[in-house]
Amino acid sequence: MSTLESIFWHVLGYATMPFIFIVGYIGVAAAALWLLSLGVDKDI
Amino acid sequence: MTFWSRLSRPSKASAGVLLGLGFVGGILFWGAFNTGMEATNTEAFCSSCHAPIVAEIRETIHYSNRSGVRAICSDCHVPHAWTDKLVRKVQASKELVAFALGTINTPEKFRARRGHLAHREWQRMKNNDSQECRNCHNFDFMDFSEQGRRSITQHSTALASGDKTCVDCHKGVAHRLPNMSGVEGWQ
Amino acid sequence: MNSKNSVNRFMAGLLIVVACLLLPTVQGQQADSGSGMAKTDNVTNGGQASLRGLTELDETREADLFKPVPRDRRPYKSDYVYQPPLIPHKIRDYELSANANKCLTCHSFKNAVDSGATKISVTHYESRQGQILSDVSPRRYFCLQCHVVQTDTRELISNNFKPVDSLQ
Repeated sequence: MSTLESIFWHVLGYATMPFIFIVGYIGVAAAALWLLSLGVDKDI
Repeated sequence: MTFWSRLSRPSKASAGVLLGLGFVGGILFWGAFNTGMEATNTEAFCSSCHAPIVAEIRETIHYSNRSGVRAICSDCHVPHAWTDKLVRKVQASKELVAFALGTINTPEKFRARRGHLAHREWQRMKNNDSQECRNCHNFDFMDFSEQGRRSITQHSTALASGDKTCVDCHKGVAHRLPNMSGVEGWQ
Repeated sequence: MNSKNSVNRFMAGLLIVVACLLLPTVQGQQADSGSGMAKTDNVTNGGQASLRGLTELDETREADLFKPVPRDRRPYKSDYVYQPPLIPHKIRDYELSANANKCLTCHSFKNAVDSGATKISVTHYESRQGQILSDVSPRRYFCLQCHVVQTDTRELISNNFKPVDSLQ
């Protein structure tokens, strides 16, 4: 693996972690809001 | 933007309900994510593309031995620490491209590329001081009196001083070797 | 007779017809596999017993038990001049192929100095015509053709062989 390639993959690899956290947060938020919309929050 | 407006305004639901939703949602997401990642660590998953190479381990000490302990692909080829594992998994997405292009989809193509792939893996092991070997083979707990003469000579000098790392000598411990001409220490 | 009954009878008839069609095929296959077997009546080894005992060619002899291979120790003494020296250590998983020769990583001229292993003899560099080559001759490359791991076992056939005086 060339140095450039190695840097590229390492940046991509470490950038994945915050990406996964954010995607997880948005996913859980979407599911929770949908659940709430079925009941108490209906009139917003 | 109903999603954003709902997300940014206070809910009518109680704090307990909201916290509960986040808690349960978090557990489910994390569980699913980790299960999915672990599924890519199984021997069956590796074999779905690398079947002939996976089969090679069967002759070796890491598969067949007197005590019944064995290593699977991910024990040696994927870091065990979670962050390193994730980084390696993302790097491995490159292999999906190779799979789509059919880079090693015939035995001939694989043989031609085997040296390249082996050297890359040896370099990886050398860079992280053979971390995946050391996950099981801990130098601090090696009893030299239980080792052979040749092992003692090498382990008590070059390995102990950090001059060499496991993979410098132990190549092909779970696979057949590529053409070794030009590799340091070989002919 | 109602319609349901006639359907049942039709299905039963169909089954019998299909069975009749299939039966010869199955029998044919059995007959084929029978005639495919090689005739082995007159294959013998002439009653010759070898070191492996008396086993006819068409039988598979039960395999011997594995010999325990001792860990690193002094090589046993040679019993006769020109005996290929025995290997005094385990060699499990040491690859010996066109790709790699694990033995030479210690025993080659270059590596023997550092490893302290026995150097291979110069005869290994000779071609069939007696020409000295720059590297191990292909005919001497596959070490295990002559050298075997030493192990402390009983002789296959008891004998009173004695090495010559110079080797005793």
